[in-house]
Amino acid sequence: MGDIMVVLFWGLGIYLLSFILHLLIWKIKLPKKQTRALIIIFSGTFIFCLVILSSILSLSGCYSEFIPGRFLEFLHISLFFISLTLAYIITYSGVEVDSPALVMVMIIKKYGLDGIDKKELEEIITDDLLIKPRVEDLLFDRMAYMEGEKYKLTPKGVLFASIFRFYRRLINAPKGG
Amino acid sequence: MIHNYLHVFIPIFALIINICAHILLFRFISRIGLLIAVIISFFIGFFCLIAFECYVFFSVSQYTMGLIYLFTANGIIYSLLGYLYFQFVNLGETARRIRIMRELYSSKDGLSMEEILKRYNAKEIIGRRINRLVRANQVKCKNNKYYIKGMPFILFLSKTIVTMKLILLGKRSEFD
Repeated sequence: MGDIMVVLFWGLGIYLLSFILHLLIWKIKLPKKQTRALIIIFSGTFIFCLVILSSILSLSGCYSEFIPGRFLEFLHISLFFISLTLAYIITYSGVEVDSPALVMVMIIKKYGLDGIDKKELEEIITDDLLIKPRVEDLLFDRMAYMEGEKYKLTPKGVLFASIFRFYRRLINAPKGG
Repeated sequence: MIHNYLHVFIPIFALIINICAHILLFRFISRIGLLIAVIISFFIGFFCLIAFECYVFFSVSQYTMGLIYLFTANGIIYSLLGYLYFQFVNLGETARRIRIMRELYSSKDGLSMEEILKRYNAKEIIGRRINRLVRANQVKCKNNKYYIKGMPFILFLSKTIVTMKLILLGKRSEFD
């Protein structure tokens, strides 16, 4: 097994282990803050595996084709694993909440070839479904807080908003949403 | 030895080229759509990845493995990073939380729920999404009625996401 196969093998192996752990925890009890839980599970498993691998290497003192032996290989495995994990976490956010397009498509499909007009869609898909839960999410994730009747951004929320504002200005795009 | 580190960082260099190409394409070619610009810039980055890999491998590398294995690992890493960038662009374009945060950001005294809904609401979201879906030929419109014929990509995607929800969360919707 060569250097790169070691990267693929361990990168995928640790990812699969983290994924199985995540599935098991989700079956036992769904965490309240799911994204945070995913980050903890995946990074925890990764650090644990790296510590085990380096311990095996330093204890046995012998080089095996299956075990990454150089800092370069550890670095490559880390990049592979982190990319895979971030791609999964960002995809998971689409599973966690219902996207408006998904809701609309499923409703339109339900109406068959008779179809549904825009007004009917607006009666089914309301602010209570699309906007209010997302505002609640901002409070829950401490991106925003309430002062009287008003919603305001926390420093964390300001940081996130400014990153996207800067990027949208950079590409000269409208507000979006 | 130092040259071997180049192999590790090549996907990151390719991603930077991808991002720069996307910004330039979208900013300076007015006719180009956001998604098309993302796809084109992904392939520009991918082409650079191949070029960098070949250059480093044939000229300076002491990596003991073959080019194919090296390219496979870095190709996967670059594709994942490209996907992350696409999702970042997509978040700015479609995510409701980001749009609400931007509305709150632009208002010094904060906004009440009523004020938020005046600026951004379900009606606006439905209008935008339905136009996008019709333009992309994913949903048909006849006599002001919207319907789906066959299995367009968006329906396939929706069904896949519902299946993932059932497996991971044990429910079809966040409101179940």
